[in-house]
Amino acid sequence: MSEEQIKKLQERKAALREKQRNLSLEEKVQILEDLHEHSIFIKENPIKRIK
Amino acid sequence: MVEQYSKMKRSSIANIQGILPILVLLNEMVEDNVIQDFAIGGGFATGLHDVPYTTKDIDVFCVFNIKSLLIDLSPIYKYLLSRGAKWEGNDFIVGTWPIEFIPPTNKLSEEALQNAMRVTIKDIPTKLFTPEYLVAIAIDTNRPKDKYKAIDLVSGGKVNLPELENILKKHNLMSRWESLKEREGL
Repeated sequence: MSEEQIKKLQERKAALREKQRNLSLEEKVQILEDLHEHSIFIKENPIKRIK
Repeated sequence: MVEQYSKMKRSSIANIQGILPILVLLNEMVEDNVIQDFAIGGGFATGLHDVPYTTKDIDVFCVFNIKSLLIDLSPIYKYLLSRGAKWEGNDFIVGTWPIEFIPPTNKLSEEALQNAMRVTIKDIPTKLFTPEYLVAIAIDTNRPKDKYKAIDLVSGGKVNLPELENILKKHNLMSRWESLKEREGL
């Protein structure tokens, strides 16, 4: 990956974080719930190593 | 929305879904005099002020009904277990969320509770530690994960820096703050 591509990715990440930072409380609660459900799913369905 | 959650009041919490019924429950615990007051801190509150991220539990700082020098947590245990919560490790499990009820352990966390901000989420009132107190507590606990939280909150522009520094000066945390600022370029 070139430096230019890395820089663009970092800019997109920063823009996304800024967007999430400015969401409403209700929207952030929804994201927290979704992340929590996802973490439960990952815990209950561990990724098996490929041998 | 208020009507929907008012139907949930005083009912079993064994199979509730999501965060909002937990906020209703916390208000009920105050109404039922199980705790005097509460505010949410830790990673959950940080995620609500800044960018939401995965947090393993909800830290609820409480003012307990203290009758002696010892804080009696048994009313909380009895109340929550009677309403269908489960107890695992250090946490109550309400729905799918682990909740840790924490008494303020020092002057800083006491102050954070007293100065918590009132917010409403879908018409349900609740209280959160302010970003300034979240950063101050993160600097005080001084664990790596807490320092990252502090850095994120400050970098995100959610912290009133003069107010933060007043808190840090009061609690003798300025030197740690200066070191963190220098190291992270804040």
